[in-house]
Amino acid sequence: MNNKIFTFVLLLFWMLLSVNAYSFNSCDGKKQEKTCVQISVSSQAEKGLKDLVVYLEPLGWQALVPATKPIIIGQLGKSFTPYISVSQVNSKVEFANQDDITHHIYSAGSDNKFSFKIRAGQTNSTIQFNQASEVAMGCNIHDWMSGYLLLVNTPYFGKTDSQGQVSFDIDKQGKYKVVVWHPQMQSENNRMIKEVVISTDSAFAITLKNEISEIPRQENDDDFDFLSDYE
Amino acid sequence: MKSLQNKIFLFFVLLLLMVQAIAFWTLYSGNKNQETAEINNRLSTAKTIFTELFDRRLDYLAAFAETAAKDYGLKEVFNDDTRSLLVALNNHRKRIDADLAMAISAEGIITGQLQRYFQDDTRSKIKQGAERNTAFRFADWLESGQTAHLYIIDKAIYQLSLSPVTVGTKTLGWIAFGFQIDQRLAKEFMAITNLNTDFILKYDDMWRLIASSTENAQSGQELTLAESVIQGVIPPQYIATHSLITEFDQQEFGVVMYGLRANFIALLQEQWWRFLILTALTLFVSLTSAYLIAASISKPIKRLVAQAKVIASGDYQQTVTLNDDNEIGQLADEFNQMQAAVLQREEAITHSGNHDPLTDLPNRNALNQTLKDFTEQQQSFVLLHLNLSRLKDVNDTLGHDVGDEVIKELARRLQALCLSTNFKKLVHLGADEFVLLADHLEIDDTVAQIQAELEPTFDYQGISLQLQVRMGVAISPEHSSDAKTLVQMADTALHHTRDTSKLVQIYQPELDVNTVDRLNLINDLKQAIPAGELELHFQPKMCLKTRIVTHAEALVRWQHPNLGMIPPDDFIHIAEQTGQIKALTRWVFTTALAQSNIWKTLGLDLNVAVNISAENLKEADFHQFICQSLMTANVAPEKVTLEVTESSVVEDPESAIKLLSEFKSHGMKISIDDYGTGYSSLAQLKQLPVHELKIDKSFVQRLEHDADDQIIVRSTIELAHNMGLHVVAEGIEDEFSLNWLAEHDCELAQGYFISRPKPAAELTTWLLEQQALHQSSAESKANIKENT
Repeated sequence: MNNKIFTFVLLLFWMLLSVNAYSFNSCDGKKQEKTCVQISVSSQAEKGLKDLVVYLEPLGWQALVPATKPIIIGQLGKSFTPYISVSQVNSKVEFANQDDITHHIYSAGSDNKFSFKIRAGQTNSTIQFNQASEVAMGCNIHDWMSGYLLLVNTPYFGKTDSQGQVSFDIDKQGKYKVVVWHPQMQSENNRMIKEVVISTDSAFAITLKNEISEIPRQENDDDFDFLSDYE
Repeated sequence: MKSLQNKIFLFFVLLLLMVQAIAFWTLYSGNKNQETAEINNRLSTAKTIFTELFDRRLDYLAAFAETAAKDYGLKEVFNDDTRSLLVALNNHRKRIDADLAMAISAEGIITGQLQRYFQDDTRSKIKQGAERNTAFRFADWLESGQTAHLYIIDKAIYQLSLSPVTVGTKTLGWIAFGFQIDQRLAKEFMAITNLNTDFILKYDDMWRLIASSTENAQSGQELTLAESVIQGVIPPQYIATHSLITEFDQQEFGVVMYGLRANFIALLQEQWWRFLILTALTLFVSLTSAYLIAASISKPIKRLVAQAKVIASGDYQQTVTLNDDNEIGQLADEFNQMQAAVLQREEAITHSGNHDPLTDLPNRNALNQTLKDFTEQQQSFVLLHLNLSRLKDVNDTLGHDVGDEVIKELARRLQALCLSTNFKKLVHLGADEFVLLADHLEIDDTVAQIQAELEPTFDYQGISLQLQVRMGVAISPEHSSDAKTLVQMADTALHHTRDTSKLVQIYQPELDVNTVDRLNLINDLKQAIPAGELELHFQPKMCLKTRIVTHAEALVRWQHPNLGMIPPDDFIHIAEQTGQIKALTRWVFTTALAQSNIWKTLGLDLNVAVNISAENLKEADFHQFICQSLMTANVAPEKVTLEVTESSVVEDPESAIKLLSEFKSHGMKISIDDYGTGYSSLAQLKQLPVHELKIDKSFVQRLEHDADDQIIVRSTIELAHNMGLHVVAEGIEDEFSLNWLAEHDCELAQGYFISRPKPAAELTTWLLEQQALHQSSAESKANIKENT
């Protein structure tokens, strides 16, 4: 009972944080000097694809204000929550084990290799991600757990909502590269890139060439979870 | 061999053999099926084991590859430098001693390949494979998720399992581990199943031998065998099975498992020996039992057989006892009863064999036995042979029943005699003949005793019958001490009483006509005619009126070489009895005719008389012979007289009369010989076709002194003359008779006074003299007459 209440409180807290994070890139209550860019992603079969990473990378120039807000990658119910996270290089990434068991989070096969154990209820923010790359994560204890962290070199990044929409307030108008990424996207490097010129508040619709493959379920395929019976 | 015991034994033997054969056959076919089933089972088990083993290796590989793929250490270095990857890969390979380990990148390039090479049986070395940095040949395997494969590098074939290396859901690449399919596997498999194992692979449409459990196998030979097994052709000396794996591209992988059939049968052979020994043992025991059973059944039967032999040999005293209540025991009882019955019957038979059925008196067999006993003890005794007189008359007139009663009465009386007096034994020879054995006392007394006993008449149903017996008597040892001879002597004596009409005759040697001499005569007579021992004598007959000899009677004489002259009375009788009278009469007749012709040429005119026997009259061709002879000799029938005795006509008057009539009509003279001695009636005489009567000499010889004879002769002559017959008188021995007969008109006279019978030549001389004498006396008479 205590666990459930605790989990509920955590969820509430996380939702508040999320709202904060999104509000950073939302066009609601936007300031006068910023330009609002709205992007909606759909596929041939489906309108409004949810939880796709979309980021804008200025072309021809650099160094935007780095995002300072840390992101939290939770391990809840023996799965990465969320499945897909996105963060700016060198931002703080906090792994939070919200389960009552130990996890052994790792990433291999890329420049951002890491591996650590995280006990129940603990957090870890020691990993420095200083290379823009796609980090596939797994758990050595729970093979089925799978999570992705996309590190980008731009503060303009976000994930589509349930309508497949995401919006950014950009400081400077100009030429941008719009990238849509998803690990199950059936295209090269799991991404789709579109170059746009932004001079005013604008909205772009991006239609994926291929359908998104089924997202693997982070579930133990054993018939029963003997651990759940273990108090 | 055909004894009951053998039969029963044989039956048991056959039965047991049959049972054993069925049992053996059942077991044999069962075993054979078991053998087949065992072999099939073994083969299918081997096949299963192989599949299991093969799959187990794959499962093992798959499980391991999957586990290894999840190793973080491996994942960490998967995309790093090759050296690190190879070391990590080899570490994993070592854990399961895999023969092949591979790492394949996400792009499908083989980034690492480790292969084991065998230097010899035990030592091996891991080397980098040649396929590094080349694309993995079977890209579809990577995507399909299927983990088990057969993978060929050069000529080595591996069982291979692939597993993806992932981070979460992201695939970094694949790792693969493989076990080589080689001789080690074949041998391992052989160690489990005891079957030789070959692995063969077909590529480019040709089977090649990959590995074999057989060391230093002649690969060609091994391959040929494996190939034929794969095609389903199993050489008879082998048992074999196979398994085919055809899943991988255009190549076939086959496993052939085989063994020598003999090796597997050998295991079963041992059972066979045990079974055969058991069968033989059972058979022996059952046959022994069968023999004993057969013996126990046949033993009492054998005893019965032995008993039957004892009975057959005539021993009725022994009985057989079997302590059995069964059928055999009953049979033994029946045997004993039968034995008693047989004894009884045999006694009855013996009794009837030794006794006369009518009087129940001892018979001839008993007599012989008694006589044998008496003569052996050299007793002196009298044997009386009794014959009841006139029994035939009683039988004929009163019937045989009465006859039998008479015989019985006689037997009773003689038996009574035996009880009371010195008579020892009474024997009934049969019919009306009895024999009495008596002590040798005064014979007359003995005979008197018998006659006294038989004197009272026997009254049978109101008929008074006289029991008169005639007796022949022989005395032992006075006449003979031989039993047979005695009986014969008594018989001879009895026989003689019939001829002499005496009642008692004591044996005398003279009575014995059936002497050896007589028997010899019978034989000698056969030779007499051809040997010329017979000759004819003639006795003249004189005409009493003229005193001239006008007739001559032919009389046969036998000049026996040893016995001299034998009178006709002695041998005519024999000739008649032995059938030789036919030849004799014919010889006499033809000889007499010849003599007649001789006399005729000499001017002697004589009628020749020949005696004809009664037997001659019975001959069918007698008439033809007489006529033929007359013709041949050319003698006039009137010159022949046939003399026939009364008695010969009496026997069969009708045919005799017929024959004589024919002779008479032919012209011959017929004369009745020995007239007066027979019993011919005047009625018969009247019918007879005769010319003359010949009065028997017994009436003529004493004519001079006997007045009665004169009356008889005279009346006979008168009778004859009255019937138109001439009279011949024979036996004239004196002048008185001759003259007396002449006075009484007898026509012819014959006798010693005139002439004895003389040989033909002698008589011829005498006749010529008589003729001359007569002529001279006639002349003188004539002269006297003339003179007077």
